[in-house]
Amino acid sequence: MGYLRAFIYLVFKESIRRKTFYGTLLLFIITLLISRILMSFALQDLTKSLIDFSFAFLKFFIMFIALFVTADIMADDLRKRTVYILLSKNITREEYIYGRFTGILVLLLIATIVLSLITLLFSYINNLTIQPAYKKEIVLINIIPFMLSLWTKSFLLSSVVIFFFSFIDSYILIIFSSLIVYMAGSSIENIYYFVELYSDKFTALTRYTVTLMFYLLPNMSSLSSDILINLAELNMSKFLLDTLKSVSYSALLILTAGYIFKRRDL
Amino acid sequence: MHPLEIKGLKYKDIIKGIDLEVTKGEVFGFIGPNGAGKTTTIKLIMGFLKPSGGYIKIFGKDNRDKSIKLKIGYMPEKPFLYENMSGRDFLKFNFMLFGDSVDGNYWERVKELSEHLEINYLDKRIGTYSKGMLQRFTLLQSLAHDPDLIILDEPMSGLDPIGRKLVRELILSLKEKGKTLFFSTHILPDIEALCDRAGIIIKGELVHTLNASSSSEIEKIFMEYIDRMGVKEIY
Repeated sequence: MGYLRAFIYLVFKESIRRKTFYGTLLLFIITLLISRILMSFALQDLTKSLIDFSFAFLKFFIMFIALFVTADIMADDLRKRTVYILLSKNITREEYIYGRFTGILVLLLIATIVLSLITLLFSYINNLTIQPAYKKEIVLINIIPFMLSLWTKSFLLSSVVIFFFSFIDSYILIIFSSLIVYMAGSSIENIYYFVELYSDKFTALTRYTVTLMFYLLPNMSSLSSDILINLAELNMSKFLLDTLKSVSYSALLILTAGYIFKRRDL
Repeated sequence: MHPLEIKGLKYKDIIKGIDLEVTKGEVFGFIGPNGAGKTTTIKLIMGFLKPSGGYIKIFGKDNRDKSIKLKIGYMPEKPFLYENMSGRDFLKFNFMLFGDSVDGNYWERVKELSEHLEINYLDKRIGTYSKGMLQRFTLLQSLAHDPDLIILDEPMSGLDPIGRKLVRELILSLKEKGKTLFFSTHILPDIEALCDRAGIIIKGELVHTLNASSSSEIEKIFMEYIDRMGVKEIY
């Protein structure tokens, strides 16, 4: 398991010093300030507006990091042929995939924790300035399931990227394919429940297709930020089941990626 | 059990059949014109490509076997390492990757190799290295775990005369230590100075294996095959 530690070390020594990483962080801070401005346009429920905007930006940035950092790291290794040097050491190709994924997993965990806490602190401080009539209390403890959900979805997206990397050479194609899966995975849950709710209005074929897609596609929709202001209740069993599905889905994708990567020419 | 044994090696229509054995302590040079299949053969040896025929054994085991990797040191033709890391960071990463399988003298060897290759820039970011500096550092990182079989793809390319001299001296000292070396080159005097034997590869075929003698003799044989096989562009 020492190789996993090595890849975590590599990701921190290499990726964290990339200029794009700091550019993304700076852009994130700017968007938080924008969410403060956007909040002031709301006529009521100012806390909800603040939370909606700031946490929507947070989700966007975490997913952005998951997509582009993973694609960058993996594609660079192949394009610049650094993978030859790595694979000449005593690791198998599968271990290379698992190691890379573990490094990204830890990077995403830290990015999720740090950015979520910054967003929470920002929202909490701004919430203090809102007049009581338009204000809602922020339930700080609910940041934990929110972060867990966000992290799970981010590494699920990373595993989709790594899966495509295992057999596609083109960086653009990897990004494009992953984005399609992400967009489909983000909306499938809503579509599924919508079709369930109005099942009498859809044909059997549509219902079966949507149900099949719901189980086949990775569910990319993370928890709603409404749970932070008690506007939505946290359904613990659904949350745990969804987390379990995402973890299993990621594991399956990474194992498949390892299997494919082992068999391809480099 | 030879350090390297290749039988009937084929890869698509690039490599058309190579049979080769490199014995322990031997320095084997691989020469051929541009596009002859030198780098492809090395990639096949390293397991980056899957042969369409034949097999490669390293120390008697399949070349993709993880257990033999610790015995191999490899340097690619155009190395590229992580630009934001320092050389020392990268060596530490390698050290962690090898885990317990590498002996405790890893850092002592790094020091010794650094002196040998005149590398005093380990703490600088790899992105700041010149081509020659990077080439020497890549050679260092491929040798730091004390491999028995060293595979180098054009180790002299990109080096200035001083760098070339340093690498030559290092190869000779590795030879003295009984290491087995397999390297590709298009510099015939290197074959004369360093190799025990050399193989000429043209159009994916190992057409001739010779005991390395004078470079003029090697050149003569090499040119004969070039003419015979109708190769127009040569290095």
